[in-house]
Order: sequence, then C-alpha cells, then structure tokens
Amino acid sequence: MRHATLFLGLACIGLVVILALFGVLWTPFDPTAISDDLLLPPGWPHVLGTDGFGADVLSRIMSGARICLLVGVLSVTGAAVVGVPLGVSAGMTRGWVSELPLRLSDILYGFPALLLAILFAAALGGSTWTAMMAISLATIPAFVRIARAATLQVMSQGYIEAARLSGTPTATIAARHVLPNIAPVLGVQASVSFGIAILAEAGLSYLGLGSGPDQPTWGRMLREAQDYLFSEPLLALWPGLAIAVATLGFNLLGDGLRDLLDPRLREVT
Amino acid sequence: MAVLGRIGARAAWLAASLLVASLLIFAATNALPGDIAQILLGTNAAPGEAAALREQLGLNRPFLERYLEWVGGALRFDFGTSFLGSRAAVAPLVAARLEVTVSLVVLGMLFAVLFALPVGAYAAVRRRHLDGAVASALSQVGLAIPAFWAGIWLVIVFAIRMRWLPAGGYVSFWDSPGEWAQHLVLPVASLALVQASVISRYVRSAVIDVTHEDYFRTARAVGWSRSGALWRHGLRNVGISLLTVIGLQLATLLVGAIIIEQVFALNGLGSTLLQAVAKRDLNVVQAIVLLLVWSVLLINFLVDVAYQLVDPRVRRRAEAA
Repeated sequence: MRHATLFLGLACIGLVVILALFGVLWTPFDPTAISDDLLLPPGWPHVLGTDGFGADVLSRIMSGARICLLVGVLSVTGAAVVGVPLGVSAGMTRGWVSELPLRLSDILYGFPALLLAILFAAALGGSTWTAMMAISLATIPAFVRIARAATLQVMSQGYIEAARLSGTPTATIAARHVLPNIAPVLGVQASVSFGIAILAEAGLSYLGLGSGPDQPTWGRMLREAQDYLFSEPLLALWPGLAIAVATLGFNLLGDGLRDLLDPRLREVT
Repeated sequence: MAVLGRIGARAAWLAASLLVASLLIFAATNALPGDIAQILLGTNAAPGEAAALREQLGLNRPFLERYLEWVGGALRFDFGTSFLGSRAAVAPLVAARLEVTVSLVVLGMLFAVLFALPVGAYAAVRRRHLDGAVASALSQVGLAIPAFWAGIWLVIVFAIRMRWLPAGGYVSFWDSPGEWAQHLVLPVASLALVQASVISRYVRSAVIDVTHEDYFRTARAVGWSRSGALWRHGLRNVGISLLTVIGLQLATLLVGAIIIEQVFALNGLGSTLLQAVAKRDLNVVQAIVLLLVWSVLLINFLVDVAYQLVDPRVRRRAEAA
C-alpha cells in the first residue's frame, strides 16, 4: 500500500509499453489499411471496431502507442542531454556566465511546445520530427532549473568540500559526486516531463502539426473521430483513454519516485 | 525603496527577454532552411517568379535589417501585411480575433481558480480521510486528460445527447451577452476542468504547509477553530501560491485555448494561426506567436511584481541579502 502510486504508475506504463512493443511485431490488422468495413461497432474480429476509413481501431491504437513512446523517449532524452549539463554547471559555478543558461531557459519557458511546433511547421512543414524537436526544446528549461537547484543543494555538502580541498578537478566532482546524487531528482523530472510530452504530442497531432497520415497517432485519431460524434461517439473514447492512461502512468511514476525519495528531496522538487 | 529598485531590475530583465524572444521567433521562421517564396508559388512556378516574389516580399534584404523593421513595427502593433491574397494588414486581422481567445483564457483561469480553491482546501484538510484522498486522486486523473478530449466529451454529452448547449461557434459579447455566455460554457468548462486539477494540487499543498506552521498551531492552541485559523492565516499563503501557479499555467492555458478553438470551431487567434501555418503565411504566424509569447512574459513579470508586494517574506529576504 505504501508504494501504491508507484506500482499503479508502472502498471499503466507497462500496458502502453506492451501495446507498443506488441504492435511492432504484430497488429490484428494493417493500421493504415482502408477497407469497406466502415464504422463497425466493437466486436469480432475488430475488437474496438473500425473507423471512418474502415481501418481497425485497435491496430491504430497499438501503432499510436509506438509513436507516443518514441516521441516521449527522444524528446525527454534530448532535453536532459542539453539541460542537465547547463543546470549542473550553473549550480557549480558563480558569475554571469553560469547565470546565462538560466536566463535563456527562463525565456524559453515562455514558449510552449505548441508554439515552437507551429513556428517549425510554418517554416519547414509539420512532421514527427518537428513535433519532437519542439517538445524537446520546450522541455529543456525544466531540466536546467531542476538540475541547478539539486546541484546547489549537493554543493553545500561536506564531501564536495573535501573533494575540492583534495584538488579534485571540477569536471570530476561533477561526474563523480554531483551527477549520482542528483540522478534521483532528475529521474522524477524525466517522468513528469514524459507525461507532459505525451500530452503535447497528442495536442500537436490533433491539430495536424505532428506525424503524417501514414502514421496513426492518438491525437490524429481523435481529430478524425470528431466527424462521427453523432453516430459513433466510441471512436472518440479509445484514443483519449490511451492518452490519459499513458500520461497518468508517467505522472504517478513521478509522484511515486518522489515519495520514495522523500523527505530529503522535498525542498528541491 | 528597495522594492522599487528590484522592480526596476526586473523590468529591465523583462525588456531583454521580450527582445530575445522576438529574435528567436523571427529566426525560427526566417533562418530555417526552405525557400518561402518557392513554397508559396508551388512546385511548378518558374524560377524567375520566385525571385520576383522574394523581391516583392522583401525577403532578399539582410536578416538583421528585416528583423529590426519587424520588431520596430511590432512595438507599434504594426505587423506588416499578409503574404497571401490581397496582402491585407496583419494587425487588424489579429485584433479582430483577440476577443475569442481572451474570453477563453480569462474565463478559463477564473473558473479554474474558483473550482480549485475549495477542492484543494478540502483535499488538504481531509487528507487522512477517504473523501480527501478521492479528491486528490481525481485531480491526478484530471491532470492526465487532454483538455480537447474533455471538450469532445462535453460536446457529446451536453450538445449532442442532451441538446442543452451549442456544440460550437462564437457570438460576440457586444452582439448578445447571453448567446456569448451560452457558446462559451462548454469550451471554458473543458479548459477550466483540466486547469483546476493542476491548481487544486498547488492549493492543497499550500494549505498543508500552513497547517504545519507554528503560527497555525499557536492559533489552534489559543482556541481558534481549524477553519477559523485557516481563514485567518491560510488565505494569504494560498494567495501567494495561487499567484505563482497562475503565472506558470498561463502558457499552458493559452495553448489549451488554441486547441480548444478547433474542437468548438471558434474563430480566434488559434484558428487564424493554424490557417496561416497551413498556407505558410509567415507574417501572420510570427505576429500571433509574438503576441502570445510576449503576453506570457509580461504577465509573468506582473506576477513577480505582485509577489514582491504581497509576500513580506520575499521582501525581507531580498532586503537582507
């Protein structure tokens, strides 16, 4: 019961991961195939029914899980790779040079992923990649801030002082003492950012700014379902449910991890 | 006096951020690869035509010169002309759509706060009971729901099934306040429900923080009731954390409003923006994105200033430093 949040989160994520991994090997039908079986209700062989083009909804959900996880993993990893070194160096050094990345990330904070994606789509045309780039850029500030705050806390510890006095180079201190100690906080942030990234991707593909028509995404499915709200409201249920379960999973995982690390890290996060 | 000095420093920083943000926006649309003149003309245009269009749109002048002209115009609310059709001026086009988006964002935030305050406080006070736990679990679920999905289901239930409210469209407040309100109920509800989940979590932790404070325990010890002590001491604390969360959530709400416009076929900044993106009408895209980002930065500045004025602890800490 103590770690219920954590386990519930992992269960939700597990479900999405299984859907995605399974979907790589096998889907009941071709997720992009157009057939004459339009708008079939849930049943057999189309477990969740078919959409307005006659494509199998379950297959499309499975295929969408893959894109959702792909965009999440790549954009959060990208943001961490850029943001964490900036945040750690800002936390370890003094002066305006270390302030600069912090200030820039404050400005970037005013740019939600959607607006960045719109700018990229206007200049380059929308695609999975522009969406991912936009989400990743928009996630950087969170990592800079959290990495800096956590680093500041670690820097006040005695072992850092000891390492400094014994002449350990700054880069070694960062790699050997700072990073391992702030890793848990970063893990929590990664999980939370992942949830935000899933919502952002869903919004972007709903607006048609993400993946192309050949890649079924949950957001795009919702957009298509809107044409049939009168007759087939269930089509608007499954993709949204998938988005909610995936996001809930990562949010709960983040909360669960934070509880696990509590109370030492409460002030930081 | 020290407060004034810090506000001055914050204002200087605001000016710098507005400038950097505008540069980022201009660079994103102008420095990325892709020849906009060629795209506007389509693939079967003669090479000469593209060159002529570039000349006409002024795209072949140096980057910095074009940027300075653009940002100078923006400060006077002049965003140049559209790349398409009759080359209409961008600013009036944007101003005409402002009402929809502002209504959505302001009402969305207002109702989110009104809803989140009691729910968050309840979840905090009753956190060791089942009903309090259910309240925070619900906010966790609300956090995971995209506002546009909530909107789609509000349409299905209240517009299609029950026929209580219109499924979409917008009527200006100045034409008919009643119709305006009717058309905004569902879009505002979908934004506010999701926002309220986020805000109620901040309210909850702010209230829990208060109950751990010495002054709260003292108030209880000298005979204040729990709700009385919360009213007396908690409100100010919650107010401060509300300020913070409103600043943080504003950008999210703006984005939510852009998407919600699509669900309810509202003709606001969002749909104008998306139409412009589809047609590659860069001047319109830049203008609207700049307007949105600048308003986020500006409101965050105002929140910071309010923070300085409201919270004596921030004031004193800064004065001691």
